Amino acid sequence: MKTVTFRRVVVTGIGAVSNLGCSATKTWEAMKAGRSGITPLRTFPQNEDWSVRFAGEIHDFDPSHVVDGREQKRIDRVALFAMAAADEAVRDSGLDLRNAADPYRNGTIIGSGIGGVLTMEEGHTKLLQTGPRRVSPFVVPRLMVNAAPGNVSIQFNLKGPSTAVASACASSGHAMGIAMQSIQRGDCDVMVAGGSEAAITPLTLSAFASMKALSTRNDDPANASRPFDKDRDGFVLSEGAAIVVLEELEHAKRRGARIYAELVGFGATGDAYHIAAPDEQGSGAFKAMEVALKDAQVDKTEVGYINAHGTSTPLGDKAEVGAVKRLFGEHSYKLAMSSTKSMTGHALGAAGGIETIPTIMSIYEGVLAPTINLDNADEGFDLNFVPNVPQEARVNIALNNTFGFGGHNVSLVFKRFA
Amino acid sequence: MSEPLPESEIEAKVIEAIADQLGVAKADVARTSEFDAICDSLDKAELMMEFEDLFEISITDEAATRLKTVADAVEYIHRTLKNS
Repeated sequence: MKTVTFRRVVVTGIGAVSNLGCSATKTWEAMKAGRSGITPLRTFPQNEDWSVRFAGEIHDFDPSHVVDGREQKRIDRVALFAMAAADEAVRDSGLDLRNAADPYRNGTIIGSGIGGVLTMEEGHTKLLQTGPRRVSPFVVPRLMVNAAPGNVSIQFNLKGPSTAVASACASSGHAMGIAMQSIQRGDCDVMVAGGSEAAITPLTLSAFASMKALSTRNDDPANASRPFDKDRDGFVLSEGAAIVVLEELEHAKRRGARIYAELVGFGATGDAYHIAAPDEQGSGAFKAMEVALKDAQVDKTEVGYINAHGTSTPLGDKAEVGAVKRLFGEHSYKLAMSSTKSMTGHALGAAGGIETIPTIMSIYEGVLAPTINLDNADEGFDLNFVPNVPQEARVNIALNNTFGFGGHNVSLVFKRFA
Repeated sequence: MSEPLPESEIEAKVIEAIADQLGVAKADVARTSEFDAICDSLDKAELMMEFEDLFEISITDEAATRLKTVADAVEYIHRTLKNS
């Protein structure tokens, strides 16, 4: 029987593309400043029929430093986001992955809720307008949900495990959790992991609006994403990507790498309840956090910060706050929990990746990113949500929660490296 | 019936389309350039669509397979326009 020896996994690189800035550094600085990345919609024209006319779009994305013009035509925005974030993360780690002695020890897992839906919509329009013989041969390699890890593996010559995860808004969480397990098991030493999403399209926006999942605060986009506030009315659709370099501890130590934090726990559950609505008791979320803490072998009283899923929907926030209060009991009043979606909006499959930045930085830098737009906390929401301004704290253990349509719940546990 | 395009003009348009799609300089594309050497099969498929649009002709898959070089494409397009 194969003997599995668990190895330790640390974060040695971070990269991101978000509506707060096209790097992890800019994103984190903006979060500490409490800045909103939500603006009136620009990417496609809308008339009064559209009930939602704003989003968390990225306006200044230019992938030219990672992909030349010719290649850009062959790659959907969702994979370009991932490649730009991966480029930053790998450079940040100091690893020379392209020239690795054994590229089979390096891999990638990148989640996306929807994949290349922009390509799908454009391709379908072309099909209807010009017929089947004019459909581009690049449609499939652009739209497939695994295009991001496929392209990133080529970008860095990653010949180890390479796959995508699709669990809606929990995709990034699963990607990082499974990547951690791959390293723990010894399948590989380095994983380029995270999530990406570029789904602010006519079809997606209208469909989420039809579900009544989105905020309709058209007159005040920057204040629309207001997790935990009593006037919250839905989430704000956004886009972006975030990638971390996960590395086996000894591998990182040998090369004197900077270590942001250790990834020590992964808890994943399913609600088995409703395809889009959260279990109102938050029992799946409760269990994901409980399993993650058990996996991490840390006591719940050690948790200092939770980056909440906190999408700003009436039901979702209620379920999560309830789950945290039940799981942590008295300790829930000692820890802090903020939702950085108040600033970024909800980048679906990329959300957990982007939120890894404030989770890790709560430990590494000792600063808790705020929940902005929190003017009046909802009834019974009596935790420290880090309202509107950042707080300083010494955090040893931080959780990153992500929950997705389909009832997917993931909680990751990060620990101060010592 | 209008005069068909002279072959030199077709060549210039073909080379411009290839350079544009592949993101290379026109000087890097010659009559003797082989498609297999300058692009992959997906690029080639899209280029054939581009030529179809550009010259308002139809290039069957069978014909496309036989077009190995830029000169092959130019001559094929010239022939097709002359016969139409």
